[in-house]
Amino acid sequence: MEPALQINGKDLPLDGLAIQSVVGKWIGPLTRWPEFLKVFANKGYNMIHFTPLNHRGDSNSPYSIYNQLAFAPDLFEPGTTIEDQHVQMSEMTTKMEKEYGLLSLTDVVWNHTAENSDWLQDHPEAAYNLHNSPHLIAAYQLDTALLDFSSNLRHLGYPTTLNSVDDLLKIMEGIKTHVLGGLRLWEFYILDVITLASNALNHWKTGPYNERDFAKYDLSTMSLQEKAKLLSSLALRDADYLGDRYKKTLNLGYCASYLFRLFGKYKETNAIDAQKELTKVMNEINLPFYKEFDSDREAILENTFNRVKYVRLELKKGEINERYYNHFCFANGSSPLIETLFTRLPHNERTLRHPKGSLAVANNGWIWANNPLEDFAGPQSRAYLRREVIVWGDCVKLRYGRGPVRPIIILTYSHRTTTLGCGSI
Amino acid sequence: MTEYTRLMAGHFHGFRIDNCHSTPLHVGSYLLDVAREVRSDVYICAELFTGSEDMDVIFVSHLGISSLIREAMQAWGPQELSR
Repeated sequence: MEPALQINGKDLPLDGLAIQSVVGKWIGPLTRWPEFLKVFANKGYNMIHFTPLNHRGDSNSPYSIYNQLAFAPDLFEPGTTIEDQHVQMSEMTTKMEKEYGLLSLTDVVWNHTAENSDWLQDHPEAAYNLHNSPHLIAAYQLDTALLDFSSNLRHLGYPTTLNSVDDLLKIMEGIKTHVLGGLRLWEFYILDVITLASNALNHWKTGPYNERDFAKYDLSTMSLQEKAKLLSSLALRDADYLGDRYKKTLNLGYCASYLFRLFGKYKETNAIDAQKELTKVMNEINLPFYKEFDSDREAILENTFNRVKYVRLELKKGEINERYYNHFCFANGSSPLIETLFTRLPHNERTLRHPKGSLAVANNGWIWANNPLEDFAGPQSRAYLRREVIVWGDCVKLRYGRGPVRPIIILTYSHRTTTLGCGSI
Repeated sequence: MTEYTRLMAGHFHGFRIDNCHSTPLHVGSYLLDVAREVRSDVYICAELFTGSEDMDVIFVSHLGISSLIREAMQAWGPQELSR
């Protein structure tokens, strides 16, 4: 699309643009800009691209914005209010055009915010949290277990410095035992057979249920697979995507009706056979769910192996430390075995009022060859659980929903600045 | 984000949409409407790594993007820019 560009009222074709990028956090305060602007203008540039000039989060990356409504305090005299920042920036971009013939362009960062953004504590619902996105619960529990394992490496007798693939393979065995072994992640995929069978028997006993649901099927001649398929097609509920453990369930009325078709009305004498039958058929229904879990488990192990191998052995990032690490603060040497995919917001008086699970929020990141029209943090995606996300530890992904656009809730406050954190990039 | 966008459109002549490929289309459309209310001729370029020209066209035509960012340093050869 051809834009309608003008510099001081004079038309500029798209091909006439000559853009110089400027890293906002390195150029210094606005008072020093004119000396640089003069050079850019003399070189023949006519547009300056600024990396975000907004108030940066604690990674100090310009793309991880702490407060979208304020500019970085280091661009101004100490004590400049946010209102005055805007006045001065407006004067500056006007002056750039009028005096130097330079248009200005800024990055806009719409799909994440700095992980320490103050407003997140008031609006964790703007992120993908465990309350509004229960499909992330399993991914979060895995992530937390990986971090716990990481901080116990020494105690458990595993290497804390990786020198070879052999070291990593030892750690992968540890992940199988100490992380996946204890987590029982398959419970997120399967029916709780024991509880459901018991509830179904009870329902068969007390009713009500429709005796005709299975009337047209001759269950006695059907194979176990056929019966499982039939019962599942009628009775399976809450199976569309992952949630809490044992989220998937069967409608008890159909289960009772199924038993009625096989055994007639409930009697003490047929209860044991009925329970056996239900257990068998539910285990059969669970089979593909276990297979799904097995496939995700493979992905978890493979992605974890590849990521640690890349970061620890190919990039040589050194010793595995016990503190959570930040993507952009690698240099300070504090990093667990693998990056966390989540930000844990602080528990305090402000955050107390949010529903349970709201304070664990998904970080943003990148997935190779992902379809950009699909939301990789949405319920239909298992990218966080399978650890396919190449995470940006300093950015919390914002949750806009599927549209059409609903009002976007956040950022209607005025907040004073705090000191900036660690450096680099 | 609405207010942020409004403020930035007031100060700057153009936007570079960071991570346009992971910004849902309806969000980009809405926020660009906000920006164009403030500055109707705002120049739009985007970091758009979709991996395919067809997908690029969907974003470019839907959002009204004038230029795309390409990373020559990430490309696999001199005849190719990273997509």
